[in-house]
Amino acid sequence: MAKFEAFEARLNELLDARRDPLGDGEIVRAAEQSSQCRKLLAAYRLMLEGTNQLSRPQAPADLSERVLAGVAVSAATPISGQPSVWRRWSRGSVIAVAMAISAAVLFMVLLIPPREPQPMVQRATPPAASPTGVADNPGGQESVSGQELTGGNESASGTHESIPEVAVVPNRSASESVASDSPRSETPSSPEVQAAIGDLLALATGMVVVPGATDRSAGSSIHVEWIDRVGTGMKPVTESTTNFLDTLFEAFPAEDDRSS
Amino acid sequence: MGCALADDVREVVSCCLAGDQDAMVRLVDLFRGPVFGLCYRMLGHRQDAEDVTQEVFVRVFRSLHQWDNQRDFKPWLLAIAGNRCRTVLGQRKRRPSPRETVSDLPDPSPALRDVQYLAEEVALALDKLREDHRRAFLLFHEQQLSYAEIGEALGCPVGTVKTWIHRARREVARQLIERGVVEERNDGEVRSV
Repeated sequence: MAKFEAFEARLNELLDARRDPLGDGEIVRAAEQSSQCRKLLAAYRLMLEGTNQLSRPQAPADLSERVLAGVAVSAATPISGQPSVWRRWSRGSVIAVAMAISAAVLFMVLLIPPREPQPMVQRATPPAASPTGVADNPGGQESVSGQELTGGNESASGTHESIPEVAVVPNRSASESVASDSPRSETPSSPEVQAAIGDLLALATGMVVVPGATDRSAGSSIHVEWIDRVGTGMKPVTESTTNFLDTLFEAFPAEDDRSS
Repeated sequence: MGCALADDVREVVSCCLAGDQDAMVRLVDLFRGPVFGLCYRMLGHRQDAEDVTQEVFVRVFRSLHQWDNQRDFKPWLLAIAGNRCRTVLGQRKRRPSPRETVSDLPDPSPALRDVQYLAEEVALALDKLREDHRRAFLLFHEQQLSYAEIGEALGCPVGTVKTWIHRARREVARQLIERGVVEERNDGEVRSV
């Protein structure tokens, strides 16, 4: 078997060198001694003979003319499929502008103060049948004031002892709830807006809202400072976006404005 | 000597770069055979091969200034042709086109003595090979390209080309033996049927 493999390897060497195997004494001797080698040699010779008899494709006669015509056409027209530098830049700039506007709009949406917070109240225990408690919440609504949420700030009213345990979702502190009851501040850096941004960011990033994380009254000021820095840093963007929208509204007034 | 009659490829190329159309025709005539043969064997379809051959030469003339005249011209040209053929084959995978293959070959019989039938038997055996093996085999034995040129054209190392061709030979020989094209007479002489 090893002899047959050596025979085949030698045969391939000769064919690689484009030499006739029958001109090699080693091959001839091996073929005389082994029928297997003889058969392989015959098969290789027939293979070469048959390959030489294969129909050889001929290039078209007018190839030169076609090539010259193709060269002339390609020289007259730019390479198609590749956008020019200007087109690539314009496409990129359109995408960049669209992304910037989207980011600005998103940020403005985040800056809009939320509506009156309607914190959901879960009563851990049934409310006590206190006439004062009913009086404090005459409409039977589940939203309560911030002082009620604290579990009874006796120094403030002294009438909330009838609500023993109250859990609030989302986690809003007493000071936040008090601030929400107060007239809304329009400045972006107001605590209410910061709290709303904090909640939205936590919601968007999937962070678990730790009770008291946005509670400035509890002293956790790290989160608030971070929001302050972001707000200050983005102030030029918001101002420029506002100016841009004002200019846009002036340029394209609404129907009512035109009629007036 | 004029550009149109120049035999040195570098001289012809320099004339082509100067815009001499006769030199361009000369360059096409010098290499039309290998390029068309490569395209035909890679694509297996005459019309596609003609189109790709024309396109290859157009591309070559457009990028002729990029050719390093310290290197051989033919491998560079065949590499472009091979790349173009691979692109067309990739497109064909998404949009299959009919392939010209040898079919309905007669079964081997004692009357199979004509060389035409031998060629058909070899063609049938080649058609059963792996595609890259068949291409390498035909480029070497039919188009008479060197291993280095085949490697450039097919985009693979010379060692790989060598392995492919050896395997193709072994497989074709095995099929010829199995189909009875090669038979051994009782006296030990091996002949073709």
